[in-house]
Amino acid sequence: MIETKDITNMVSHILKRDKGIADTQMMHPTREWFTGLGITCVIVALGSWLCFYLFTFYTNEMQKEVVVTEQAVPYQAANIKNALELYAIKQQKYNEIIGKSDGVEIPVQPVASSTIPTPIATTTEGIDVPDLIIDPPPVVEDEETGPVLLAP
Amino acid sequence: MLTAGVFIYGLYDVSKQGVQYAESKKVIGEHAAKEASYNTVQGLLVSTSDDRVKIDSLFIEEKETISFISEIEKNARAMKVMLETNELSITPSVTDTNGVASPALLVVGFDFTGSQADVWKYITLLENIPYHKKITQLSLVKSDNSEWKANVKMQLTLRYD
Repeated sequence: MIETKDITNMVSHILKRDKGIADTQMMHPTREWFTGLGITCVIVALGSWLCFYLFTFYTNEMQKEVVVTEQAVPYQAANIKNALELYAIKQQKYNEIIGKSDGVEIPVQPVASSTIPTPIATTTEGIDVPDLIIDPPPVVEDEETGPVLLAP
Repeated sequence: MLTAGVFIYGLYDVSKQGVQYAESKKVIGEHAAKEASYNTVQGLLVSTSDDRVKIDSLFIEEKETISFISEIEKNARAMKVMLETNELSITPSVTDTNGVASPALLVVGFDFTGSQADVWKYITLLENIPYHKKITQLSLVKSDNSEWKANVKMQLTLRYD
């Protein structure tokens, strides 16, 4: 029966026999030629692939347009237009009042006379006055307090 | 070996120039963006020059203060209103902690007397002064002889220099 030990001895014998074969040739021109040729082919192939890759990469890169990200300039044209229109109206009213100050009759409600002057005051502080009110507020007479200016 | 070295150096040089090209392209893009923004602003400045002149005219200048008061007084005389200027001061521009500057203000106050119609008409005139302003106080008092006395205080925004 063949045991493991026998197999090991057989393998060892075979290996020792291979080592015993001496290489009498100092050079192997054919083998080295083909080895060099193979290595050269690999280098040429890799180099060709790399050159092609670089060529296509930079060709595509050059064809890309320069990205121009322009910053938007905020200009609120509608607000400016509205403001200019508003002030144009004010200017027009101002000019009308100045130009027709002598001739224009502003409707005035009759003011009741009173023997005892009663000061009536209206005061607004810290608020924007609303737009133009041409007509003055009516004045009515109260029996106890005299003429009273009604709020517009 | 020499050929391989030259070949590798060539690849390295190509790669380096590619990086420089990408950086240059980025810089060109930034410059082009700035140039486009500049052209846009330039066009906006040209196209809005009329509007800006009009807007400028809505803000009173400090040197116009005297002529403004003179015009107010002249108008008061024309409208048969006795006018007295009781306040004239300038509130300087203030910058808050957030860096937002409030404009300088010309603060003026007037007392004027006249008939109800004249006083009311003059108030209307003051409301429509074509300057950017805020009427901060308005009071009306009726005195004897059908005369009305009014007090108006307003803040006019001064133009930035």
